[in-house]
Amino acid sequence: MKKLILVLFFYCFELQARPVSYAGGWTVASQNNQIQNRVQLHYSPSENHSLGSIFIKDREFDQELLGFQWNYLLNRKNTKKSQRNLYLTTQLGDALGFESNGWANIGIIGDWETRKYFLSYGANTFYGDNFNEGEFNHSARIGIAPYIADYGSVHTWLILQLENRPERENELLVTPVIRLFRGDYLFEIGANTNSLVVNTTIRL
Amino acid sequence: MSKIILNLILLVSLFHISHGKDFSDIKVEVKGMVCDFCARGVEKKLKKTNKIKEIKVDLDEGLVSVKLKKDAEIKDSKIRDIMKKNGLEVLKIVRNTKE
Repeated sequence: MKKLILVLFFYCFELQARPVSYAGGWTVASQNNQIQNRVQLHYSPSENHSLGSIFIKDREFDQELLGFQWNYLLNRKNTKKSQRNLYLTTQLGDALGFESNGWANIGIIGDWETRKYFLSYGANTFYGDNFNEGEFNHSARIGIAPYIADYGSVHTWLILQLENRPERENELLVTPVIRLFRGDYLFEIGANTNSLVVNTTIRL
Repeated sequence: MSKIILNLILLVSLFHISHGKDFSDIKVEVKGMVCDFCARGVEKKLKKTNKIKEIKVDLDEGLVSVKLKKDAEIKDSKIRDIMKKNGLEVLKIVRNTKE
């Protein structure tokens, strides 16, 4: 029976879009590269937390992970020109078709955003049934808007995404990303030395 | 010819004056509304009250301007609640009193 292998770059999915939406808001997001497809759906019963599910398909290791997630807004600071957030993210799931198949993921995400700049950082630890200890990974994003778009217009962000997993291959994966969004629809395309990256987010 | 140009200038000026006129009944100044995604929920929740005719969002100024439907009313407490549920903080609510 095959054993669960840590899914490569268990990237802080929520860096793509905030893990908690407005009260009553639904979010559907996907992250795709040449190795993996990830889809998540979450609902925010209040502005402080969200509940949802996540599905990951890894073609390289022939793995499928299904999980449930709960995200909580720990702290928010609003100013006239910025917003800063700190979130706790948790996921608990099952690796489909494995002997030892339970897994869990816990992390924090911080972000700060103005109309022109944004910064985000996420760190999380992944635990699997056949892992001796948790595996830590973290990622960050730095973004700049080349122009300031009005409400309802197409917004563009130029983003540099950095990912690192010190316990496996202690290397820094750098991915330049272009983000476009208008209304409830967000689309990202990027590339790194490993793969092309295509992400989408829809807020309902 | 000069009379035509003068009339055209007058017409354009009048258009600008009427176009720039404040359309709203309520102006809500908020903190934290820095992106389109943040404001999208505000628009949806306000429209869901069925009391809103038109909404304008100014992200630069952190301003939500609301035109109510005829004879409709919305309380400050409701507006504050909607903003809070969108993760925003209300700085002030200004009502445009009609004569």
